[in-house]
Amino acid sequence: MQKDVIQPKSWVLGACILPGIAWYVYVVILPMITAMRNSLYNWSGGPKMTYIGFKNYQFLMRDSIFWQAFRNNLTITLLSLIGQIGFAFILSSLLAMRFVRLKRLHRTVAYFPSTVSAVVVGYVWSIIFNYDSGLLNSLLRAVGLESWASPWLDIPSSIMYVVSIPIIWQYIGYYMIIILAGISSIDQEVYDMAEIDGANGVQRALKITLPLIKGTLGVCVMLCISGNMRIFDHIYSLTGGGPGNSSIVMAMHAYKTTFIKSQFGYASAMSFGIMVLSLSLIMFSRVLIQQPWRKEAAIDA
Amino acid sequence: MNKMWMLAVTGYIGVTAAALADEVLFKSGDRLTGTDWTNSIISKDGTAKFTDPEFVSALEYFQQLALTPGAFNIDINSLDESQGREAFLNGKAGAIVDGSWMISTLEQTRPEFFDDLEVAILPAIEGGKGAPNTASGGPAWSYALSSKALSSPEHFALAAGVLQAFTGETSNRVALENGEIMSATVEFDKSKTGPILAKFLEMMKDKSTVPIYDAAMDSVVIETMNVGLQELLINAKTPQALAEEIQFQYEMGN
Repeated sequence: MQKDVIQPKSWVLGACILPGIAWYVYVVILPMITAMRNSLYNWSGGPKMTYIGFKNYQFLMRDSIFWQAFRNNLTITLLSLIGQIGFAFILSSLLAMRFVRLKRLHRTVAYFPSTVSAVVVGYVWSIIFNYDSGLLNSLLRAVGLESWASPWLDIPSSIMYVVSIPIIWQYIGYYMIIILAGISSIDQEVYDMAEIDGANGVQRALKITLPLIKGTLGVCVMLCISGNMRIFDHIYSLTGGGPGNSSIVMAMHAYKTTFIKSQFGYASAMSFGIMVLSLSLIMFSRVLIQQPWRKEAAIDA
Repeated sequence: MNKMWMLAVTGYIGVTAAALADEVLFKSGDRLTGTDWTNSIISKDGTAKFTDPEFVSALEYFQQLALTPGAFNIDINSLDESQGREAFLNGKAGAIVDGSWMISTLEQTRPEFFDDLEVAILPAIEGGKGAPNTASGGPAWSYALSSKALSSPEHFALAAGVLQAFTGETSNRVALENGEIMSATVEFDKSKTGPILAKFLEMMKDKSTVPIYDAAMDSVVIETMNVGLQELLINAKTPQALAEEIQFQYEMGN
């Protein structure tokens, strides 16, 4: 990098990022401050707002549906971490191998679901899971497994696993591209040497690729957690949070509280709770990945 | 009336939880509690409670009905309105619980249904306090005038003209002739409408209407009821617990 070639004056730089900062303040910071203020009121829309202090937060702590929604978010996140990043790692390790043909086609096809709107994905999968004429049950019936055919979206005990499938399916390609980018930055000579030493594919993936793309995986984990903590559209179009509240997630609970129950003050408190929970989870995952208590971690990061 | 329940016994009826809640509970609710109770809840005069035995027994009745094996389709909680109708329109479901707004869709999509199709209101419930020959109904849409419309006589005349056009005899007639049920009684050209609407109007002649739960009660109460009914359907909540939850939300909203 030649630093002295083009170095605009600092006021020019400032002026360039000013619109961005102003927009960010307008669409993120200001609403956050407004929500913080609204969360202290009993407000159902309209001009009448009653100040009630931290009562909304007290109510949130005791709101069993909110905590169930949080547990559901955690379930989806955990399944996605394993499913999305795990599968993405396996697929990208395969795609990085020499003998695999049509790599570009595989990449494109695997990435394709990520470009589809989540509502469409949810709707398509709701047709697949349909009890009467769904693809899944039709397949099961066709191969003689009639007793396995179930109303997949109606069983409360397994509903979280069922709704996680489309979510996992959709984003495998997304993480695959990120991991492939990470793998491509590894020097090919490392693999060649390992191959000469007799390492097989699995050993290469686990002992070379995995440690060398740790940073990339960290990014994936963070994206995965933040993405799944605010998951909404898939569930909305698959089950609407049902049956009952079995598959409700935090964002949907906040949405229903706001737009169906018109409890704007309480919903603001809830949004705040969601933000705090999501941020602490992301920070927790950062600590787990970077492991600051280990000495070499400082060099890795 | 009997036809529908006979069909229901034979198995798949294309019903969704929302339709079931809307059509079965909200109406059988009134059948059991009586309209005085419903009106007291709506007016919030404090005498009626959701925890009253009448309403709890309506929930119990509903759960009993829903948990009877084979009474309803087992994917009742996951079907949306269009999927429920699809099952009926494709002939897979023997009956459907739906509203009068379904009629025009029916007449447009499946004219061959006309001869065999009968419409009915829910049957009477033994021991219910409400009148059996009722269906919930009434105006669900309204027009609001801005105070500016009243500021000058010309504005008011214009606004009144618009309201007249939207709600007057002509618009009611046009709507009826296109299969929409209107709140006003007007003469219309019956040859323009389909036979299902005719059957429906004929059936409703000696029936009266009771309040519509979801049009007259707070959205918090309705949402709690709708979600709670799904929980009753999967046996995840007792009627008593649900009644208490609804009452809690009802009191919070007051």
